[in-house]
Amino acid sequence: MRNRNLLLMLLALGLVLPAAAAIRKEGGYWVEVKEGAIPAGTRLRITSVGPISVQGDSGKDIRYKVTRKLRAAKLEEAERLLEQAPVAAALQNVTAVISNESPSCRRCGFSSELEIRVPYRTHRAVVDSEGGSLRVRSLLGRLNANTHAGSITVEDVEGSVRANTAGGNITLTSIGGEILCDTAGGSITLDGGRANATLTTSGGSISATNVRGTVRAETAGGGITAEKIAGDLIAGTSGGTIKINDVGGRVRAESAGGSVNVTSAPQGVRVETAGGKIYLRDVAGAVVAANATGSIQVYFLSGRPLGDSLLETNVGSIDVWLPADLKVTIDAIVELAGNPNRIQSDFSAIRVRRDEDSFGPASVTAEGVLNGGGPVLRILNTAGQIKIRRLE
Amino acid sequence: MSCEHIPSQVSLYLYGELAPAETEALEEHIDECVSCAALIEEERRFFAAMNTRVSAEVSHSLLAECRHDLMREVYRSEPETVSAWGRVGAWFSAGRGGGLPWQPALIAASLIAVFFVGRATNGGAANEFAWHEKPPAGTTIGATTIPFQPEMGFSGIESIARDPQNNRVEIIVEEVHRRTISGPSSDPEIHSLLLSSVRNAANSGVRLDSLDVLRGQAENQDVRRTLLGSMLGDNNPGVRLKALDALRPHMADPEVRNALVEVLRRDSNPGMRVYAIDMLAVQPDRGLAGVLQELVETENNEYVRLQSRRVLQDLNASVDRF
Repeated sequence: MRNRNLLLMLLALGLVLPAAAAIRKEGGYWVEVKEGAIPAGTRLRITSVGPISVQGDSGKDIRYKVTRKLRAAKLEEAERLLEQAPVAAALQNVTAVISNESPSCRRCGFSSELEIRVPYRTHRAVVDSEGGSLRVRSLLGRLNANTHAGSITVEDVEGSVRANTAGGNITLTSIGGEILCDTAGGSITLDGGRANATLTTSGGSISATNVRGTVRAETAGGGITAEKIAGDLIAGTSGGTIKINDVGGRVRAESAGGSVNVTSAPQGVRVETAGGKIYLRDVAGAVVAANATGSIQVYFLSGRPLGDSLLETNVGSIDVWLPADLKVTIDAIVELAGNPNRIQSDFSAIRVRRDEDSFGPASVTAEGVLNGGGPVLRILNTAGQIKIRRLE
Repeated sequence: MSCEHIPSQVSLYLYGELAPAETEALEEHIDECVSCAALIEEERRFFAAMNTRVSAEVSHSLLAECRHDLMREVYRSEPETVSAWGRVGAWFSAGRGGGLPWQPALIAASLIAVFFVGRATNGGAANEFAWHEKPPAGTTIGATTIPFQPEMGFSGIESIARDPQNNRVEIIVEEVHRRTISGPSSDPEIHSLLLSSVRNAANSGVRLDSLDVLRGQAENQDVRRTLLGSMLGDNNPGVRLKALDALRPHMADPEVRNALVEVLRRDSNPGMRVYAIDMLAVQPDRGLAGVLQELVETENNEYVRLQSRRVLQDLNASVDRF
């Protein structure tokens, strides 16, 4: 009713272009396809009950096509139900508004689909669906996309993007502005971002590639993959593996269970997992890696300075490969060790010794200064083995 | 919207908490009002400055130090264990002439107790113990002269024999030590270890890695049952998700469908429930109607609720329970 009043008012003001509609029978459903156009504003607001597709183009008007389906015994009944919730499309001040609601029929199996073409120069688009997937493509301005249920796919948007779904996957490709997206269950994929991105899911995997800004990725369960991130990366999962490759900034990755694999992160790495192996390759800066159980393998990057670093496990082996020219001070210990070979070193400057104590097993420690010394690399292992290798 | 409304809306706007219509009205206003635009900009700078403030964190090194100090102290200052060992030593000496008939059992019990104390102080990850050294085969440990070294690791004691003539004790120990097994994943030994690690490994990383290897083998009934068990029972949501994903091609199996219904009804992770409803919605059957009707009423994830409603409509079933 609200929409009908709005529609009548806007028709009277000449701000709505008439839409063409036709109803046909398809199987057990009556199908209405309505097409229309309205003048474009700098802003766009769309609300609908089903899937929405928005495509930016070089046109000057906004063109839309709504396909609505429902079950009814007769054509007249179908028309009556559809008239209860007419599609409203109008320009209000600088905002083009398209609204498509559901008629109040509990058992008519109503569904609708909205396709819209808008000028790509639209400054800001707000797209809301009460339940259905959203697809938005080729816009210069900002986008705010929300759905109560369904996937969100966004491609080629220059401005910032906010995407929020109460359940469903989110796929973002080539986004110019800041990204903030959240799904209450589903995976998130981002390929191509030129600003910071915050990606959050209540369950599902996250993948981020080719991002120029900082990426924050958090999942309540599922793996995280990140590659070619120019800024910092913060990744956290309540359970799942984390794979990271080529990060320009600092890396912080935490898993409540699962392995963590980081390759090429020269600005510092901080990795923690409750259970699972940690593999770090070509890392530099301050490197912190800790797990409760599982092995730790670290290959430090040659030619890049190290910060004060710490590698720590309770049960498992720690293998460290150090470039021959790395300036570093080593301080390593295996707390419960029977014999000195629990710490093995390729470097003569590292002195390994066994510390007897009054009761229980001895500790084995290793200390040494390589290439004149530098930041401290502490290696703590409660009951495993430590190997300090020369990286050729 | 007028200028007087702006100050009360600024924080909500910058946090993204305004409703879309309010956001739009505010932005329309600041597009035309220079002073309000300046106010927003100033607030935005303040927010940015607050966000970049370095939060105080306890040094990771200090935390690690504390953890290890604690572990060392717990292990090394076990007064009960020390005195018990003292008593064991004394009993050995006293037993030189006659010995008590229950001595071997006592020794074994003490050794096992100390071993498990050691394991417990190491985070309780019993399955993760992997010891590197092992004493040469056939070593006889003279318990009176060589101090007990739990880090040598053993899984049990097979037998203990005592020679009353020279007061020597011979203990046959079952060792725990690291071993590498390699081969194709179809190799029976490897296959069995993979299944076992999915079911039993304390380390969730190991369970995930095992699932990665097994995910393409769900045609095999053992593998499928193991995946079903993980999907329903693992406490790590990442493991459950991976198991669910591995079962995706086997939706025709009634056991898989039933397990997915259980996921829908009981799993605490909304991502699991979202995937489960999506999988079940591909080929819904009328047997699902009752569960879906229940979900329409009780599910707190909107997507699952709406999908349930949609599937019920597709099935021509009532959305409501009667």
